[in-house]
Amino acid sequence: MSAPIHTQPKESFTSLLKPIIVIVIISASAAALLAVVKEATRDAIAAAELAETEKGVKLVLPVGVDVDVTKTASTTVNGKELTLYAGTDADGRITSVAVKTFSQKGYSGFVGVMVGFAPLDDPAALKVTRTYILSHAETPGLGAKITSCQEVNDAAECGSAFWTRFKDRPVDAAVLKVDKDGGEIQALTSATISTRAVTGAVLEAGEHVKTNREAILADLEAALKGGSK
Amino acid sequence: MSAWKEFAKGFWNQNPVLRLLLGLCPVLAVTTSATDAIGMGLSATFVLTMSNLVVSLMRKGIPDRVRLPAFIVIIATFVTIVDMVLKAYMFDLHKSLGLFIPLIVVNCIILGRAEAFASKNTALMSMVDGLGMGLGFTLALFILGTIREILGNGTFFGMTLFGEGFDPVLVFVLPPGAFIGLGFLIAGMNYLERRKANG
Repeated sequence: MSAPIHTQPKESFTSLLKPIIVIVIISASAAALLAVVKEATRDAIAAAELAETEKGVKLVLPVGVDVDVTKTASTTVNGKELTLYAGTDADGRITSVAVKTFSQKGYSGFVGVMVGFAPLDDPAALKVTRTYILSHAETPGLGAKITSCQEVNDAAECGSAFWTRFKDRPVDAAVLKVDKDGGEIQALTSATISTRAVTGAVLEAGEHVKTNREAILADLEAALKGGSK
Repeated sequence: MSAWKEFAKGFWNQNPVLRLLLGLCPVLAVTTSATDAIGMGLSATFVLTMSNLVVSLMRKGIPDRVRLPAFIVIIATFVTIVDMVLKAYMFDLHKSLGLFIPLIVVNCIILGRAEAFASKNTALMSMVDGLGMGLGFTLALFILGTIREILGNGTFFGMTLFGEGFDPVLVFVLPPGAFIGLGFLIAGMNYLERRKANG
């Protein structure tokens, strides 16, 4: 029997304990510091996120309607949870709705889409008011053109705004499809997949609003009355 | 070595991107525009300077066997601070840099400087080293970002430079363009260096 080849040098109690204590102290100080920073930035982050949502909602709803982005309702379609924002006229009547939805079928996966619909009193006349891309990872120069000129609300200010392809289109499966699939939405050059992803999300949200109009209106009324959620 | 030398080495002789070829993941990923490149560079500079300072101050107290976990915790703390502050006050920049801010934690320049420099030098020198290396990193990102944005998108800091007739070279904003641009930058730097050596 030979002695074991690997022998641990004898460790004193302190040499074992010191690394543990040091790591605990460093981690605890890091946690304390981060807690302070998180607390300090929390309001600003919440405000920035709200401002971002508000910008999208205001762009997709018709010009002149009032909106309170802190009052939302939600609904589920095909396993997706959609957030709804009500657009109200001067009398407080809900005339339009902005829907925050998404598609997983972009060329690089997730595409976040905000889309507005009006008028809500006549389901047969329901139209897309506008679209706004919240987030995407599409190819720069090709699929990324789904965001072209979307910060402005006047198509004349900008040569080729993607959102104009949806503006005032009726919610109808024969229209809200890419032209290659038999619809009327013209696909972006070399970015049919990106166009199809946005179009699919818009049609899905539109049909959902159309068929569940009354329930959605009731939810939005309740949200507006019930204060912030 | 003088403080100036420690500061200046990051720009040319030991430029982290163009000389040491470290931290290439963000270099290739976020240099599609000059704005993103500078945002990324300055975020990394802040993390590098602060982590170098803290690592240097604690270098005698951190036992050797746990030094890497300790460094990573320190670095991750500063990265998280940058992430939260950017999100609070520069929301659009945070949106376009996205995932690459948290990934500064694993940027090898930062751990590399902590291990190779800050754990052996004084706090002041370590900060100077971090600042120099960080700004050298920022400069390399900025040059590459500018080239890619102008050629690939026809803009500079978002301003359109050319008329309607300009057709951008799309490949420059795509990942291959990052490799091509970086390759030319390194080649150009080596050429200048060789000319200098030959007198």
